[in-house]
Amino acid sequence: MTQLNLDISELISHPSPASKKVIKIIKSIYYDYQKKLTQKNLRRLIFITKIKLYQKQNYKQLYLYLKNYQILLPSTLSKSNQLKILFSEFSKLQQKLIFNNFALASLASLNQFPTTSNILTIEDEKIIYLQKIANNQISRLLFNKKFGHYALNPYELSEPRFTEYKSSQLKKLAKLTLNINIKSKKKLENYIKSEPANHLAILIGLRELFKSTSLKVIKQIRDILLLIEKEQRIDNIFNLSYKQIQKKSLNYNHYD
Amino acid sequence: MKKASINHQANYLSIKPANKLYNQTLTFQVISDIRQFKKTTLCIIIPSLNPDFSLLLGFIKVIITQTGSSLSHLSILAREHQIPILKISNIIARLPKHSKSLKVTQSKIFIFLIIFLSCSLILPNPTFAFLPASTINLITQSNLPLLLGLLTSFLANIAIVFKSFKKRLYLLLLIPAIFSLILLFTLTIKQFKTLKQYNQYNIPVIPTYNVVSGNPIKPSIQYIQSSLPKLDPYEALTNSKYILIEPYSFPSTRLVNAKKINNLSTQILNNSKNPKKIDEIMASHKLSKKDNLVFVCDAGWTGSVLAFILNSYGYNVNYLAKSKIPENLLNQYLDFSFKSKSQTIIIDKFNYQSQSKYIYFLFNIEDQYVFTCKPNQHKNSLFPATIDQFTIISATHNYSYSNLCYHNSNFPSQINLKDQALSFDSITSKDFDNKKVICQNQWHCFLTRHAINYLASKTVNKIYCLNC
Repeated sequence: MTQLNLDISELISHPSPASKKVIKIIKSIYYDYQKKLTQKNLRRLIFITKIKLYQKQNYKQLYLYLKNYQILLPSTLSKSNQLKILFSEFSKLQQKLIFNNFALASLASLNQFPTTSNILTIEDEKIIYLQKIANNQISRLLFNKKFGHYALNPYELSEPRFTEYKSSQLKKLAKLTLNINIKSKKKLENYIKSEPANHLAILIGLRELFKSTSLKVIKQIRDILLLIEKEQRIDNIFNLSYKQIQKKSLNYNHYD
Repeated sequence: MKKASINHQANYLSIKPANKLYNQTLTFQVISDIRQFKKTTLCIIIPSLNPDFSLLLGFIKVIITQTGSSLSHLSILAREHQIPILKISNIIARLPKHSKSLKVTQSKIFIFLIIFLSCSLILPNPTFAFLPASTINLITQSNLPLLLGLLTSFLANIAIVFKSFKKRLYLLLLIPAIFSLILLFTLTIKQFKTLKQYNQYNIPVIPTYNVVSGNPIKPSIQYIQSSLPKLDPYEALTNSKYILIEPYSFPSTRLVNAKKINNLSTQILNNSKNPKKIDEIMASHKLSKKDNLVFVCDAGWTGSVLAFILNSYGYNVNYLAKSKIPENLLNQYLDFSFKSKSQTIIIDKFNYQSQSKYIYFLFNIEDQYVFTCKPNQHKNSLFPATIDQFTIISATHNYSYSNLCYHNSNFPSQINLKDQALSFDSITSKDFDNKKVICQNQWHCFLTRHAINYLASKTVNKIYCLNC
């Protein structure tokens, strides 16, 4: 079974203290899986079997999970609890995403150079949408609905999301994509329905879908943090660690 | 302005760089954030494969990263857009200061072919007229490693041309190529040494038949006893003069024109490098270059070698023997050194009743017969009974005991030939000082003479030669 290397710098470059919580979650999940793989016991066997089953057909269940994914966040809850729920949801998503990545790495190890993806991933769609923004083909509202939760260095909590960008800023960024030619490909849903032989492409597509869903959660976390920053009049909340933020939010709730 | 050079040691995460990319000057930019990007840049050097950089794929030709994998989103997209991603660890720290452009250079592994040697396989021998003819023969004996080396290096060169070759396979091809070249080199050195040895002795280096034009070695006529009534080779040679070298080998009554000339072979062999002397010897026996000559011998070795020498000086000689000696074996035969002084060592009397321990020379049956040619001659004689100890001296140690038993019923039945086998060197040790060495072969057996020469040079007490 091929081991998966965790590259944090690829995930978040120059993480802020607030984002270290995100890194902590991802690291703990990754090392938990890695431990299962290195151990020589039944747990390893079960883990490998799960991965094999996932590669063959269980990915469909995960796709359905992602398709119907929604976070129910009662507004009555305190900010601190909301943050807890969101980080717990993020953790659940990452658990599935990293599991998917292990399966992907294992499948890709069979080919030295993995084939190019046969499906239109969310990342591909993002580039297409940016191109449309550059050419004034779609409204900002439509773009925000679909990719507003994305950002540059997207897992970094301090990074502004695309929804927060000024139109000129977004257009400048979008213009960079004009020279990119995205080939016409199948959508992930249609590709899965066609029962293809290349499951590698599906796992790549699922990875991007997971990322998109995770970023939605990240955006919600960021929104709450910005709210706390505003209400608590904190200079830069992202310079605080998660524990400090929790304390602040508790204080805030106390006086509320 | 300094120019950085990125060499082949990189890992390719997306695709390998296209040919046109090599040696092209590319402006580069070290960036960690997409917002730092300048549109004139053709190559970006990044610390990791952050997916944000996928937005730049329309501008850049090469991505160099310090970390990342071929499964990263950026790698997959770059693969689709035919943009190579080179993974070079710690590249940012290694870049020369103030450099703004770089070159991607290609690794080049040269395979040196020994063109000269390979040509010897393809071109006819006269091309190498400046070398002694036998040199070519010696070199071409090592054809196998040469062919192997040529084949593997040829494949490796194809791999270079197409570049789609995987590094490990490439190395796998190089191993037999290097091995065969080393083998070829050692073989050639060894054979040149043998060639040098030729020149020490009074044996000419005889060119092979295809080099000496006009005086080829005549094909031998095989004398097959079982087919005598059907095929009589003597009739075919009615107009020839026969010279009997080994008169006991053939029924002389059948050879009407047969003439026994004592010591002819010795005289020819000892003067083989002196054409004038050979002409004198032949003239003294009233033999000229116009005569059709047939040298008759038993196993064919002596006759064929004499024919070999005389034909190269313009004589017209066939040899008649029980077996045909292949020409390639004659080369091997000439490997054995031959000194004129060895004649003096040969003692023509042999004391059967000696109580000393004897050492027997028993050579491989392919080199020369020992018991095989005259089994009846020794039958019921005292010869084997007087031998206290049999010691087989053989270069190969592969002497077949069954062959000995078959040809000589008196040969001891219990003998461990492998244990008894000795090399030439071992018989010169002190343990053998008081022993007599008996050569059971005939004196003009080259192999025997080689051994005798060897022993003479090592000053062994006495050397006897049986049947001389």
